[in-house]
Amino acid sequence: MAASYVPVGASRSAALGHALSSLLLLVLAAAQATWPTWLRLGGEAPSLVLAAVISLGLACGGPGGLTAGFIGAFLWGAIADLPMGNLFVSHMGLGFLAGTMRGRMFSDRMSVAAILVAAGVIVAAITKLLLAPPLSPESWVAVVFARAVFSALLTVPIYPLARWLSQYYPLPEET
Amino acid sequence: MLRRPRSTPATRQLALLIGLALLLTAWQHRADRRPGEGGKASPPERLAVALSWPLQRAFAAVGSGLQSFGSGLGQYRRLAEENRRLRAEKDELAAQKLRLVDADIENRHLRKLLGLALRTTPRPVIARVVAVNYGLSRKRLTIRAEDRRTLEVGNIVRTELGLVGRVSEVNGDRAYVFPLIDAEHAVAAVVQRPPRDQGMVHVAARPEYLPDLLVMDKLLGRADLREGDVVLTSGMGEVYPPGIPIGTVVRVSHSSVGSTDVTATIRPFVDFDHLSYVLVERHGG
Repeated sequence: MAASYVPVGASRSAALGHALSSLLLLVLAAAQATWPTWLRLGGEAPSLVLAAVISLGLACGGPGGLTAGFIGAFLWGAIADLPMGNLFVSHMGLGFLAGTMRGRMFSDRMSVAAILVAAGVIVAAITKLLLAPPLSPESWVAVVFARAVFSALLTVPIYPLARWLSQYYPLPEET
Repeated sequence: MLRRPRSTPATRQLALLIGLALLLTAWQHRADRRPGEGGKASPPERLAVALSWPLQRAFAAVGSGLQSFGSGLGQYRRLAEENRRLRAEKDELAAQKLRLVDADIENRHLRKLLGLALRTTPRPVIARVVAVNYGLSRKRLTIRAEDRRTLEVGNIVRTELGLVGRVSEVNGDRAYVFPLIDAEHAVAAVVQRPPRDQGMVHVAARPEYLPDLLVMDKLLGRADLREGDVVLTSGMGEVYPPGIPIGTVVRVSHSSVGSTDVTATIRPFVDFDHLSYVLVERHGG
């Protein structure tokens, strides 16, 4: 038995999916960079890009999540002028891990996506803490908690978009 | 013969993306360390920023617009509340006016029954301030009546806000006013609020002199003066009629040890630096 990853027309479909995902990530990176100060939770903007990467991984599978993680990390690193190394590690890893849950029990539920995003924000923050520690880590826990909660809340409008994009990423079929 | 296992598309994708990520990270690191590099960004980063720039501008405009809308909404609520309060105040004042009209009619009726003459207030003459001399020693205002009416020595000069001074000299259609802020001027005054403490109002002597403040003294130690009290002319000495507003108390100070004197600093209602028109009234008939 062999798994057919490339059904007829699938590569073209996935390319369109990657293009649309990149557009979504670009819009969310711009929104995250210009998030208004009066709309912050505990002074923190949500991690919209990471929420989209995890949602795309959950909805579109491992390859989709991996690519979304790569593009999201690059865009966010460039726009926010952040070191890209830890962003690539955290975003690609989380996108791929979320992708491995595609098609499993409860993976299509909004609440699961929100919980995964909150956990993903914390994991990304720990990765950043290890690879690029902040100058003053005192308020780190409160900051990360506020960002995780806010990002989980904003997964609610992002996840349906990721689900819609999943039509361009066909599930591997047994042949 | 051993053959290398063929890589799957997923493995190739993973390897490609990791390679690209390493390349981009190294490129960013290199651009960041290069001295004198404009913007310290690698070309791919600049491309990403350029692509996102119109979106960022649009989002910033939307955020700013929403903030303005929100603050406008808050302002609207405050203004609506103020409007409601002012309307209630206006209604209260209208009711007070009606009560005053009733009292006036009753007063006229009672005066008539008692055989007393009705009090009539002569209409004040409007005069224009034509010269101001605020020298260090003497301060004088020169005024001229608008309708060329004759002014007289002793006329009271005021504005709708309060007392300015009195006419000290007349020369043709011009009159010279001895203002409240002259160092030689003192006015018998009374605090409007009961127990209506009395004193003298004048400018402070140097070095405590302040150009826009007056002092009320000759008050007894038990005088009850508070910040915000309104001070009026008392009519004592018959130089000024009673009841002309002078100013409000801005500070109350008790003088040195062993003395019970109280001194109040008063901010006059009249802005002596910006006088252009005054009202002149005859005093004593």
